[in-house]
Amino acid sequence: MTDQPPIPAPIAVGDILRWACRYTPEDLEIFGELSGRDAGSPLTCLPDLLVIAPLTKLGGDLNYISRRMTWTAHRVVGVDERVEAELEVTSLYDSGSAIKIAFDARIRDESGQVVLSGDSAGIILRGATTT
Amino acid sequence: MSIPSELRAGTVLTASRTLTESDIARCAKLTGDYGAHHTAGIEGRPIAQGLLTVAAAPLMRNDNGFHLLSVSLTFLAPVFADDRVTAEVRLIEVTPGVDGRLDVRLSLAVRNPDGVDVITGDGAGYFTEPDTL
Repeated sequence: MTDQPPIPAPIAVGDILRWACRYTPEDLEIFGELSGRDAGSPLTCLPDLLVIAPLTKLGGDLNYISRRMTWTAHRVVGVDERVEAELEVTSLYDSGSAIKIAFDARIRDESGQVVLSGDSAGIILRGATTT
Repeated sequence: MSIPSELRAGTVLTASRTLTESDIARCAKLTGDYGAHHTAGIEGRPIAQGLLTVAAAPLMRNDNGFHLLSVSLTFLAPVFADDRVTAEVRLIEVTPGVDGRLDVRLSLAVRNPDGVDVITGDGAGYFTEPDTL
């Protein structure tokens, strides 16, 4: 018996979380403001960090805190191009105060082709509330 | 192809930025990352998204036609709202690539106001039009 809250989402090894979105020119402007990048250097495609952004949305849904992250881009992604993020749970370990979790990560384009792949490992803190 | 002098191996690019609570909220809206540690925070202090923190670094935000091909990041410590971070990108190797590109290997360190590394990493990428730099 424990007074610790349960794992914040019913997740298990092998589960695949998905989220699809597209980023508009207006989103790129916001990214430029948030990053402080030089506005005189216009973007002709989606910034690399926005390509991985939907993966961070999926992590955020779990209150996931990444400790390590790698990714490899397989092609450039266009502005207004629909992409779908996939996080596949590859390991899960309840350490008591936190849940240690690892993922394989992919971004697919509309045809299903993987345009970016990688992996991440980190924790979900006990007591974190789901959004 | 000649390599611009500012892009030789050993060049260090730096940038500093204060990540405000408003930045964190806007980043959440932009990315959908509304993790509780970003919104409610820890002990009431919102923590900046890793993406927002990395975006403060030169080249990570696609400056000057730069594209990342691969990256490996380690998140060592949280960055709290209103922390000013300083990002340092060091060019490890710069070589001519295909189609006029300039291939780059780099390392990254982002530090908090105490000078402590909060994110470290390395990566590879390329400049599409290095002659215009």
